[in-house]
Amino acid sequence: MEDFTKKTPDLNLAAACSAGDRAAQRKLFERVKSPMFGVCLRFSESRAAAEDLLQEGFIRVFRDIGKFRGEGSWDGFVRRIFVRTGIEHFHRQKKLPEMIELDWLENTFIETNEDFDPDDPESVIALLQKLPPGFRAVLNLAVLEEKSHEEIARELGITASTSRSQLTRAKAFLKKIIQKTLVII
Amino acid sequence: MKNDSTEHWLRQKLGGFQHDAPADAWQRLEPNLPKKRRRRPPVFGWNLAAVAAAFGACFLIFKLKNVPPTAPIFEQKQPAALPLIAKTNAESSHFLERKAEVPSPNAMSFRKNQPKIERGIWADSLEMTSQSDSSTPLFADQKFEDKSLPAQTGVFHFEKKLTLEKLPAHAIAPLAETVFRPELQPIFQPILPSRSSAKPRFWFGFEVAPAIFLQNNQSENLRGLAFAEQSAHPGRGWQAGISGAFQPRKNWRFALGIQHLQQTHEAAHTATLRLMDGVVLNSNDPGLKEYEFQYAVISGGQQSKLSLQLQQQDIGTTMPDDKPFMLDMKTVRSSTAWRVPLTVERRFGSGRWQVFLRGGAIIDFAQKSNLQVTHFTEVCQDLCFQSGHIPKIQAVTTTQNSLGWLVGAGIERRFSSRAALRFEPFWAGQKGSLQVGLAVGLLFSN
Repeated sequence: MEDFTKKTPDLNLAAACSAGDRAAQRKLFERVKSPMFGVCLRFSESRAAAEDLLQEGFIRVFRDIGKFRGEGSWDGFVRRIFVRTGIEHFHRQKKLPEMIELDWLENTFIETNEDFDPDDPESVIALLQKLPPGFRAVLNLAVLEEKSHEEIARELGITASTSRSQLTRAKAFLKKIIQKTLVII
Repeated sequence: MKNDSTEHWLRQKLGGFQHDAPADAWQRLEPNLPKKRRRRPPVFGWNLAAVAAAFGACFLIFKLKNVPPTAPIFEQKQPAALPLIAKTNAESSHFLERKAEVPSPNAMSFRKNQPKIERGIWADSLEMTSQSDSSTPLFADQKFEDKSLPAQTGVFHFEKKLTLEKLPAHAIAPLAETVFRPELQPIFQPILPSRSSAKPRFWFGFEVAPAIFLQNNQSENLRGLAFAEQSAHPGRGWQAGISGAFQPRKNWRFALGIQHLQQTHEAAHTATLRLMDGVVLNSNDPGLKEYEFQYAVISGGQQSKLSLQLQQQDIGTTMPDDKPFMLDMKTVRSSTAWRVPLTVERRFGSGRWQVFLRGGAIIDFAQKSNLQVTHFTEVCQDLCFQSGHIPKIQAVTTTQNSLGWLVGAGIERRFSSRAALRFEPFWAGQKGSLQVGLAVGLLFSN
């Protein structure tokens, strides 16, 4: 698979995409669709929702690509848009739980995902998708996007302490899942 | 497993995670992408270029009108008494005989605020001629230098420093019939009073104008509901704003302003509706039924689908049949915009009443437009559903920046040299629309 992150910024391609050139848009789409679909899967609760996010994200990319000045990589530019799309998906769900029963989540997940493999990224994605939206959003932003709690608080409209709390609880949940899975295996 | 190790595990598994996108992702995406845009000249570029060009032209006109006349001093109207003969240092024997012509104080009418230098130069010229003897011509020629004669030396308005001397009459004789072809260029010219010597002025004004808007038919696609509008009557609105004008010359003004524009436009469109499907939402309820109907709406050659929930008003009312029926719909579009007019104005006449013509470019900046579509008024009545219920679709659309033209002609009433009231019918056009208005404005000058 082509590693698009190694590509040098192509301002001509950006200009063509911005002007609505379908061939250029298709070229960029093919170049970044796989990693961006990975981002969408991480931020969504299902594959269908991820496909919708992929659509929405690319529409935004082609709308905003005129702002790309070549100062960074395609990866950074496109990823930021997709992360932003994922965050807005979270806002649409508006289901950030303040209190959640971790035991119930664990049991539910293990009962319904008996073939969970902690070494398989696909399984990890499936686990992530089962998480409450707040956990999923905070894990994505704090761990995988490496944002500070202040940034997360700003993005999600919560306080930094809530973000820390959510992250702690989410990590504790993952830890229990993995431990129980390993015991079961 | 510690929490940090949980993070490490998550990063290890999902850092740089990629997944094959659905095979039909592009096919699903492509119809949702905006259509290819036609490359248009940037409006802001036009704006800046137009402003720069207008003010550049204005500056040039002003400067040109204040440049001293290029005619040499001897081409001025009133001849001095002395014939003056000069020769250059050039090898060719170009003798010249001319009359030194300088403005006469009687022939000239100096303005009150005329710079004093003009008088000074005029005086210098007069002094030059008066120093000579009117009966003896002056010569400037190295060959005919006669040391016995008292020489008058001075710097004339010529390219080279010349020596002017009184020469005897016999020396003049061969030159008497010589045609004067001056090759001498004056170093500088006197600044003579002219009409354009008035100082440039600046004006500041307020303007308000009721207006009507004539608009071509439009096609709209709103939330998947497509229709083609037929204007019911011209739109109505108003505009108000401020402007600043630069008046480099008496009768010319270059103005730049900003105006707030508001308009309401009503349109009608006729659509054919065909009932495609209908379900009863409360089938177990013995009372009034609620229905959800799926209609195909055909308007202006476009077809769209519409879902509508209606409530039965009378138990005896039957469901609508599936025969197509025509409906008249109404669209009310309210929009506001900021407009920047850039105009050139020519005034005619003087005194208290003056007339003027104005023309230029306008730039309307993108603004939000509120659109309300009223549907199914008739069907509500015909089908005896809930009376008085008029379903509406309301939406906010965004207009594009646009460039247009403006022409106007009006009268101006001067209260003083610094204040005026003006009335101006104007026409403003843009792609697909024409605006007619009557502007009333107040202008103040420095």
